[in-house]
Amino acid sequence: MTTTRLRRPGGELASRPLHFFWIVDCSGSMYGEKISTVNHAIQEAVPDMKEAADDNPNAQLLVRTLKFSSGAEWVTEDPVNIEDFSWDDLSAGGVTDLGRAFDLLSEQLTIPPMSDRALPPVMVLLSDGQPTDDYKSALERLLNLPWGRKSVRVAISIGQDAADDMLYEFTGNRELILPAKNASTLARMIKWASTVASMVSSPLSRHTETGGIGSAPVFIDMNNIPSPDEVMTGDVW
Amino acid sequence: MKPHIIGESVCGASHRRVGKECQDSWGYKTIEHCDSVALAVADGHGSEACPHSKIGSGIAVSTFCDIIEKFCRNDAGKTDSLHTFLNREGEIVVAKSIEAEWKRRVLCRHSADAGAGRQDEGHSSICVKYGSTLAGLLVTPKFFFALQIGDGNIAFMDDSGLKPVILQDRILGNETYSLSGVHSWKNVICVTGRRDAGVPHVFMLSTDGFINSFASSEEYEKSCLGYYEMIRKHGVSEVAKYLGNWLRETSEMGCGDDISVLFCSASCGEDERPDR
Repeated sequence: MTTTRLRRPGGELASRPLHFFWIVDCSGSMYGEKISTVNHAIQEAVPDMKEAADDNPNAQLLVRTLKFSSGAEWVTEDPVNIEDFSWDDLSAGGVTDLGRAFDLLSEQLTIPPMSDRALPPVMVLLSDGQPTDDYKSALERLLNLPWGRKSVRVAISIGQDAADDMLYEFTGNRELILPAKNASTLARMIKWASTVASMVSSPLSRHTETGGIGSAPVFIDMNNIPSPDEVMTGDVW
Repeated sequence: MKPHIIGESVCGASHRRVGKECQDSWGYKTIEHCDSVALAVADGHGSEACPHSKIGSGIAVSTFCDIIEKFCRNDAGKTDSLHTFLNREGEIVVAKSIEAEWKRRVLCRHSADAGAGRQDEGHSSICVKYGSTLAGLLVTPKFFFALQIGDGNIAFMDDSGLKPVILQDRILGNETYSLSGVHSWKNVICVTGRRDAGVPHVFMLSTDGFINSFASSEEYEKSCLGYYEMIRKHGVSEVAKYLGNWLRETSEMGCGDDISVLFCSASCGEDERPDR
């Protein structure tokens, strides 16, 4: 008598996508040391993001860059697997059309193209100034999207003139506004922000009372956010 | 009615990598005096805020089975009135009973384990530590009753395909409703339905680690129906031999979460024998 070894029933398996967005202010005030520090720090962070992604094969880390100044534009049009992601240096010039950037994000966080089985998306906004367009209504549209509400939003407040109240409207949590008053602090904050993806990629579930209506879900470890006063070498912006 | 039930819980691939135990539970209880079976899966949240969620999910499964048995006993021999009662009161009386009993058992267990430890914790914060979802099903010869709070899937499969027993809005991300919530009974969804026991069919209960491991809902359904066909062709005992390995593979190649799956085949007539 022969016995047949049964094989697992079909159905294509897949890790869960985790969308990570770098949203970079490229207005004129970012010209010089600020934008070059951003370029350098994010380039430096990418290998660590790849390594962290390797440690969790059950999440597929997909990265995109969005820049805004006079208008907004995707630097990477489609989501790029972190393995294939490389940073294209950005230059600065123009005004601060943040609202336009929020509109582009809204288009991408709608279901579809987003999948309902994804992990919460991570958005890291880097900005040093006041938006020059109507960002409020665009932000409202973004945060009214199911994935907009569920996203983890971090802001890096660059220099002394950054609009922290606006950044708070974006993050929904003051602890997730990382102050960077000089180049060394900015580099450290970018490095920390790049690790948020690995914190979000765990499949552990969390209890919700409301089904997700309300403020941003904060389930990332904020204990190890670098202190802005720890390293203060270099000029303050 | 002679139900054939198989189930398995496996530790998620991402949990194994960090040495974390499986937070899911599953179980069933035969309710002989009304020729029925109660079965359930539960998914302990596993987050840092819920260090005892493995215990919580185990209590969720046993609570569901015991509470359902109690209601069956109250209506012993009166299937129609039980059906009517569950249909009418499932989301209120039954849901409230399950929430209250789960919390009572959690507090007893916590008290027993903590001994003379901290006495200053509120009941709500204790219950959060044991947080769990619950997906339960009562199968009687004439009808079924399904109850769910939080993530998970209860599906009905026959030769015509798969039908979700409970449809609910999916909460995006990793958040879910929980038995540990305040007035958690308000988030319970119940469904009752008539059974045609003469038609071969299988109920399938699964925690969200299963559906989240597939590329799409269509691929999830394809897999469920694959299990159904395999059970029909080879019998539950044969499928049971492989189930653990298959689910481990599913977690490894999928979302990495714990997975629990429970199949119940309870049709009548010649096709009642899925072990043939």
